[in-house]
This record gives sequence, structure tokens and C-alpha cells, in this order.
Amino acid sequence: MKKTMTTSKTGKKKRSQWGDIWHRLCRNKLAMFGLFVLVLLVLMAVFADVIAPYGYDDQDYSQMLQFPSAAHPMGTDNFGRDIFSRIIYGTRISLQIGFISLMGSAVVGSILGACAGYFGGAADTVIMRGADILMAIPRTVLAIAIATTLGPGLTNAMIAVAISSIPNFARVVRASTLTVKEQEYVEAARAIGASNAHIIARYIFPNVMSPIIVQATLGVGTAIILAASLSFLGLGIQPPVPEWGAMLSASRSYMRDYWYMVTFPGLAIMLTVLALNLFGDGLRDALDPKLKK
Amino acid sequence: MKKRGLCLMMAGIMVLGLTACAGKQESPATGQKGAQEGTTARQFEENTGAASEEGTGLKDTLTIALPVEPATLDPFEHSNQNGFICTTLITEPLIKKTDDGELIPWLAESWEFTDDTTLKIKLKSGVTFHDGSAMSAEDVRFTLCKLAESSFSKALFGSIDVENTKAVGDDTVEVKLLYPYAPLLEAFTTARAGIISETIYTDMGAEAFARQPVGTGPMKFKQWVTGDRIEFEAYENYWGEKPAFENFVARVIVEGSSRTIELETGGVDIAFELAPADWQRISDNPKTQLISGNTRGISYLCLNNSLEPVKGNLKLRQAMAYGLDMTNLVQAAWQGTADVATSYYAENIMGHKAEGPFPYDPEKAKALLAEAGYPEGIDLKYMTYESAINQAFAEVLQNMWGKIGIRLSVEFLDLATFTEKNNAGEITMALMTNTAALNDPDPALIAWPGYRTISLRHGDDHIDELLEKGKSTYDEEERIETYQKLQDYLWENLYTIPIAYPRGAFGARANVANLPFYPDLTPDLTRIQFTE
Repeated sequence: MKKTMTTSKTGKKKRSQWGDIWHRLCRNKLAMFGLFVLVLLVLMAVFADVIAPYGYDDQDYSQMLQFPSAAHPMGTDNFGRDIFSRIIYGTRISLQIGFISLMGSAVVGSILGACAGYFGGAADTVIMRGADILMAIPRTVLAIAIATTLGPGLTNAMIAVAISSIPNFARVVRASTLTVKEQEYVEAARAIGASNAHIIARYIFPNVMSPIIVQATLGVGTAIILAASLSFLGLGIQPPVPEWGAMLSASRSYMRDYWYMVTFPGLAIMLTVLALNLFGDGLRDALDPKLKK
Repeated sequence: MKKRGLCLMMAGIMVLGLTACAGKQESPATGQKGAQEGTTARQFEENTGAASEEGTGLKDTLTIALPVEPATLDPFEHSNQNGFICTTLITEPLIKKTDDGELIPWLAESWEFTDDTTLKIKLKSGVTFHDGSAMSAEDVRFTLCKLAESSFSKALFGSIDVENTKAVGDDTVEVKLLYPYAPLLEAFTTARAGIISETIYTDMGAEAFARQPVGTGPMKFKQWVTGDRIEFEAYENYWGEKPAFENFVARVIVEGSSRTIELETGGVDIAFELAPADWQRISDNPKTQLISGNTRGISYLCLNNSLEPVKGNLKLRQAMAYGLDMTNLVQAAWQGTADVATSYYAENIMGHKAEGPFPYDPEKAKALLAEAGYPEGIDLKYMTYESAINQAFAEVLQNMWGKIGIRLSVEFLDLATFTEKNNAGEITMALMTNTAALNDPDPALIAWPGYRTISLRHGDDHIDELLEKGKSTYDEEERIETYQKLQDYLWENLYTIPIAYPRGAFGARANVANLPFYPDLTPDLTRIQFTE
């Protein structure tokens, strides 16, 4: 692994590569804001049971369609359910979909991309043309097609989102692999007789990590939006689970009289995706060697 | 890099506005010449604020908004009310009904029952189809026989004896019946029973006719832009009084709130199937009017009695019924546009007997569930298709039953799959709505005859006996007695759980007159007048 030890201005103390990145990240206020919001969201998801004043499916027919008030900060929906509580529980679902599906596509996409880049030739052609075909189909359409085939549900929505973001990872990783595999340390490893799998795992991956991380952070936002779109179309999470996209969809016929029913789930999606993107951008800047002194 | 964040922020905002954009105005360029003229004329009217010329309330174009595009306009191939709304302008029935329920001759001049199973119909002369050919007794015979044979209209016209019904001369048809059928004349007044020409139908073929229907009505077919609109224009040689408009456009606007917006902005004159949340808004707006009333429909929880565990388990079915807080269920799902059902057909139909509703008693429901053999609760599957009411109903059902130990999983299917499964008897349970085509108990109980293969499948012969008896009796009192007995029996056996009597509504511009509420939700658009 390339050594990136730097010495801070004040003197002797050495920082690791990751410490260095963290330091640069800390200087980016927007990225820190994104991180702060993300941490908040994760906490909300974890402690939903404690924070939420009501259960996500507590129907109270005497409280139907109430405007925001002290008892219901974000109002109630057409079943008298507290929208604030539903949004808090919804954080769980959205983050779950975002991170798990992204993890899946990152693993599969990176392996495919690394293989394509490392072996070249036929493997490269087959994998990358496959990725090109997938990328030629608009992501949402691809996800809709997959979700329709698999049927609605949380797991299937995650699979649909994951598959549709595999090509992005494959591309990014392949490009970086092409550069990395020409490096001397790879050549050295090959010279001492290391196997291809070993080289990819020990020498290639660690050095293409940063583009993967950036792609993943930015991808989570897109994945959340994609999952919300699927649910909006009725192909994703099924009621009564409070997925934000499904909440938007269910309240759209009330939109003109009860603005708060669509506003808060919409804001929740926006805020989450915005936070992920700000953080992702900051991370990219922090990881980008060109910005180094 | 910041650009990307900004982009996604914009995307987030767009998510908020996703549905707001759905109701965009149509561009005038989409239509053909006639449609453009229509738009221009309307704009002219609105811009000048002038009343329609001559003060007779004539308007160039009547534009309506339908929630679903009819799959076909072939009267024998569908039972979709949106198709019938259009075809009331193209084809006409033998008999029409006034708002007071009186039968008046239309294409028929007179009729007479010579005995219980023979009906003689004398036809009006001078009626022509849109191709100029005269309507003959043969055409009427052809139409009636097709109605008797089509699986979509069999329930209403199945009593007609296809073999022995014949044309007598040019202007009389002798309709023979296989068995006495009390609601027959009522059936003749429905939009289904529009008379069509045998020659035209056979020459064109069913498929072409379905896209381009021909009849004797005041409007004739002009064009059908798939997914967008159906257009008719005036038939110049119409035998009767001409309608108050020259052109007719049926626009397909799927999203409920978009239909409302179109109505509010004057893009359409009449909008059908308004979203419950919009009723008040339409009624409050001085530029629009809400025409609402009780339909002849009933929404019920259809249980599949041929499948375990519902099959033969009355206690379980009772537990289901007692576990539902009907008032709140109906309020939450229909948002105040339905009443709690009290029996197996609508209150405005002859012989209705108020049996319920079931009181909400979760403790009793739990006890019954235990007696039924499920002290630990039970997992059941509910199937439905996407619609605002279906979705809301499923969510409330899931919640209420959850409290008594019935754990419900909900599966949303697309309408085509749902229909297919329903016909094959594979739907476990679902909310279904039947709207009686006529004001008569027999069509109101359309789900119940044993030969019906939908997913109810009660397999109870006693029901068939009573149904048979009810429809083949002409004496009203005797019929009422039979149907009340039947309602008692159904209420005891709970093969399905009656839920709601939905109300219906049309939204119209304030200047639309002569549009009363039609309980079958299929208004006679030929009568529409305009005031200013």
C-alpha cells in the first residue's frame, strides 16, 4: 500500500492516512453538517421506539386529518396516525434500504469492475458491455422492471435498487483498477508468484477504496430516492410500514387540502438525501489526492 | 461538487411537487381540427364572459373526464361503466326511464306482455343508424339475442329465449322468455341494451366495432386517440331532439386530483369518480356543482368459501365481523362518502331489510376466534388492487383485526391479475363492490348465483333456490317476502361481510343543467343542457 504519511505543520506527530482524511473532512463545514444530520438520522432510526410519541400504525379515528399541533407536531393522516412518529420509524426503512442495497451493489459491482479491469480482454468486454446495457436503461425504469418481476416488498425493493446501481460501481472500480494494476507493487507481487485473487484482494482493492467510498456515499442518496419512487408507485414497501415514498403516494389525494401530509415525508427524503450528498462531496474532496499539498 | 448537492436538493423539492405537476393543461395541438375549434369556442366564451349565443344554452363541445379509459366500446364485451357513459350518446335503448322511474317508449313505440313469457315490442319508425340504414326488427332481435348470450349481460338478459325470439314483420319483435323474469323491462332501459345494427356489427367485426361503435343515437363516432380521448360529433339525421352540444369529448384523466383541477379550471364540463377528499371542494366552489346521491352499490368483504380456513367455519366469519368497528372503518376508508351497510343490498332497492350492522365487540370476536379453533390467533391473506379506497380499507382492516388476533398480510395485485384470479376463484378475501344495474333485488344480488365463478363460491343451494324464486315471480309482495328471507339467511351465514353503501358523485361546471344523480352512475348525457 502506498504510504501517505504526512507531518503536520506543528511538528513531529505523524498522522495515519485516514486521520489525515478525517482532518481535511473536518475543515469542510458542509460535509460536517451532512455528517451531523446523518448521525442524527441514524440515532433516530435506532431509538425510534423511544423517540416516537406514537406507534407507526396507531390508528385513532377520532384524530383523523388533524393539522399540526402540540399533540401531533406534523399532524395526523387519514387514519388518525401521527405523521411525526411515522416519519421517525420511516427513517429506519429508508436508511436500511439505502445502506443495505448500496452495500450489495458495492460488493458485486466492485468485484466485477476489478475483474474487468485486472484481467482485461474477454472478461472486460463481457462485463463492461453488460454494464453498458444496464446503464442504457434509465435507472428508475430498470428498478421498476425488476421490482415488478420480483413483486413488492422490502427485500425485493432492496434487490431492485441494488441491481440497478451495480454498473456504476463496476465502471468506477474498473477505471481505477486499470491505473493501479500498472503500479510497481502489483508487478512485484506478481513476480513473487502471488495468485490473481490474492493480488486483487490485497493490492488492488485497498488502492481503489476511495472511489468506491465516494460512489457509495453519493449512491445511498440516489438509492433512497429510487426506493421512495418505487414505493410511490406501489412497487416498494407495502403499508402499513411507514416508508416515506409510500407516505407521499398515499397522501397525494389529500395534498390540496392537507398540505402537511405530503410536505413532511417530502422534506424527510430531501433532508436525508441532501445530507448524504453533502457528506459524500466532502468525502470525495478529502480523499482526492489532487487537493493535497 | 456543490452543484451536485444543489441538483439533488432540487430533486428533493421535485419529489414534493411530484403530483402537483400531474394536472397540467392539455395543449390544444393534441386534438384534431374539431377539438381545436371546440377549445377556441370555449376560450372565446370564457374570455368575453358572454353567455352562449341565442340564449338556448347551446354549446359547441361537451367535455367529460373519465378515470379509466374504456377497454372497448362493444356493448357485449364489457361491463365497465366508463364505456357505458360514452355509449349512451351513440346507441339508444328501446325504453327509457324518467327521473320518477316511469318507463317511456324510446326506440320502441309500445310493448305488451301477451303472457308471462312473451313480450311483444312495436318499434318506432324512421329511426336510422349512423350509416343511414333504417333500424329493423331484425336488428332488435339480433341485439337482444347477443345480450342474452354475452357473459357480461347474461345476468340481466339471460331469460331471453334466443331460439324462439323472432321479428314479426318490419316493426315488431316477439321476445320469448325461458322463464318469467320480473326486472326485464327495467333491464331494457340500461345503457347496455342499446340497439345496434346486425349488418354493421357483422360486417365490421366485433373488434373493429369495439373501437368505432355505430348506433342510432344523437352522436356518432369521430375518433379515439388511445390513452387520451374519445370524440363524437352530432349525427345530422337523428330522429329525435338534438342534444345541446355539437361535439363530445371524453378525456381520460387517471389521477383523481387532476380530474378535479380540470373541472375547477373549466378544462372539462363533467368529471366522474371524484376523489372523496375533493367532494367538499367541488361543492363549495361557485363555479362547480356536486351532484351526489346513494348508489345502488354495496361494498362487501368477499370471503372465499371454497378455501380453508374460511370454508365451513361460521365462527371464524363471525369473529371477523365482530372484530370490525364498522363506523370508523367506513369513515376512514371512504372519508365520509359511504354509509355503513345494514344488509346485503342497497337501501334504495325494493325489499331491503335492515339486519345490522354488526356491533363492534372485540372481546366477543376474540372468544369466537378461540371457539373457531384459533385461540392463538390466525394468519390470513388479503388480496386487492391499487385504489385509494382499497388501500385505505386494507390498512384499517389490518389494524382492527390485528387487535383481535387476526394477522393479515396484504397483497396488492394489478387489476388484470386480480380479475383473472377472481374469476379462477383464487382470491382469498377482498373488498368487492357490486352496483346493481337496475333498481331490482335480482341484479343487486349479482354475486350470489351459484353459477357465478368469482371468488365467493358459497356452494349453498338454498341461496340459489331463493334467488330463482325471487326473480321468476311477478307479484311484488311475494318477491319482497322472498328477498327478505334471503337476506335473513345470508346475514345468519355470513358468507361475505357487508361493509358499506358507497355514495356516488359527479362533479360538473355550474352551467351544466339537467344532470340528475343516477344511482347506477351512468348518466344519460343526451339530456344535458347549459345555462349561463
